[in-house]
Amino acid sequence: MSSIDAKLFDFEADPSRQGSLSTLPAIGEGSVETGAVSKVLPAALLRNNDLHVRFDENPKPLTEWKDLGAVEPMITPKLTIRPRVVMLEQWEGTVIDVQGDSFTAQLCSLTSQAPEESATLSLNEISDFDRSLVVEGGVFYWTIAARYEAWGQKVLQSTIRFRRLPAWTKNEISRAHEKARRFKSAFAKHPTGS
Amino acid sequence: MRTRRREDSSQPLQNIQPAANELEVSLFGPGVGECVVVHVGDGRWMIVDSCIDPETGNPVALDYLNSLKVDISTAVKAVVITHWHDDHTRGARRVLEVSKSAELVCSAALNTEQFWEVVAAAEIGFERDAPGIAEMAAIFELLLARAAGSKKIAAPTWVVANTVLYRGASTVHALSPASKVQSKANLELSSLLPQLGETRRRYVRNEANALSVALWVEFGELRALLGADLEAGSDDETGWKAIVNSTKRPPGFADIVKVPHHGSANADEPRMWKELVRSDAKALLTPFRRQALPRDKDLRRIRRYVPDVFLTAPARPGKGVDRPKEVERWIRKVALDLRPAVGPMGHVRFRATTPSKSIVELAGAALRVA
Repeated sequence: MSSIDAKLFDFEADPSRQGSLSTLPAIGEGSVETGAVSKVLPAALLRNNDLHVRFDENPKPLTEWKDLGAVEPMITPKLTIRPRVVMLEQWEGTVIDVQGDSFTAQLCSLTSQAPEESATLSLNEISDFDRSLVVEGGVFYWTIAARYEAWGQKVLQSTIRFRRLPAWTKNEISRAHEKARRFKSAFAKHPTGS
Repeated sequence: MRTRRREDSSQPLQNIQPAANELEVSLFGPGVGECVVVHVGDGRWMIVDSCIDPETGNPVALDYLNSLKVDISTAVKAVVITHWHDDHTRGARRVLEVSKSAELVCSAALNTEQFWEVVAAAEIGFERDAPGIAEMAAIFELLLARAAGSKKIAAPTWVVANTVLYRGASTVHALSPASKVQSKANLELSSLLPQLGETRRRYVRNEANALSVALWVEFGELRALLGADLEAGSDDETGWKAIVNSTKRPPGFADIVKVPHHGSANADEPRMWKELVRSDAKALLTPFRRQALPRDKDLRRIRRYVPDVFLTAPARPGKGVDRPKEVERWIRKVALDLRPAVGPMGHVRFRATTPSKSIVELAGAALRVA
């Protein structure tokens, strides 16, 4: 026997809100065996076999779902209620060169094992807020994602955001000086050539 | 890397060591960058720059010499880092670590206060954000670790133009850097020094090509010119212009040339081809896909200098990364251009005992330029 992943809405508690599922709080959600509630759950809502059952704040035995006849449960799958974003591809990019209204960058995929790529991108793709960061050595993230809106509408979107790298601190610069002295004393006294 | 074919023959490339009196120049790339492996005679080798084979994840020079059953720990006598760009240094620390008998050779233009400061800063503040410089930092840390408990520190050999860096069955000369680039190097490195409160950026500067170490190999009657990324030069005292104007450079004409800076127009010096290279020399080069080099017009220009030109891989691979169609559509909408920067990699191998007895073999994605 399969199960149903569902939410229940108590219309009897507030009959005036019937039909406004997107705003009505659910009184229960979980998965129930189809045989237990086949009279009230549309077959189209059959989902996976996740049997975590929760009803209101107090878990109740599965058999009690049948006793909700007076409540007249309304069912809706979770996916159609909560919008979500699925990342399809994301790169970390480094600006190599800025020329006129475009810039070249090297890209490393953060979502796959794809080899390093080089891209030429238009400055028009960069928000005004980030334009000052489009400089040689600037680091950015380019994301292509699918956004699933309520009731399953799918919208593709591309976002380029520049990373604001931290500034050098006094401590770091001091450590760098110390390390440089170490390298220099070890290696710089050995010039060769004519 | 899979062996594909042998130039002018249907036989596969053989993993047999060259004869003691045979010059070999093997060029690999692009593993982003390039690597040259040279047999300098009597079973001794020199490795110039380093890149990673995307298939194995190893420095390609080590994979290749292992395939020839060369004892890398004793047979490699010099590891040359022509300049610090990451397309020439990836895996160099590992190469040096394994090449226990090798001397590290670097451009003397780097032996400056500013360079040490930049290397130290890269190690402390950038980590992976400065792959080229960070690799140099890792190399120097390796040398320091080797020196621990020993009175002798294996310092790099800092070379300038007209320095001999190896003598054996063959002689290897540095043709660059010219002494005049020192001030330019200092200026460039100074611009990379961290300043208090300054926002960090990654090191991606391209100017370091002027500091590159170009090499001249004399092997019996044979001559090889390894052009690194050295550019033509802004005046008569820098770049290739300085070399062709030099009265101290070794005489002769190269039988094989590793074309400088991936065949780019800014590395083209007609006098280099006329005064240092035989008109029937073999020209070898690697693509640099970040800058889409070499371009078709670069290849046409090089073929006007010499007839036989070999690329380790196509400059623009026909196939990019496999992605869902909806992602591809969006990429085309946003990016003016998107191309792979690495792979497929190829290998061009030149072997000769005399100028008239040479063979060029190709493996992987390598091809002869038609």
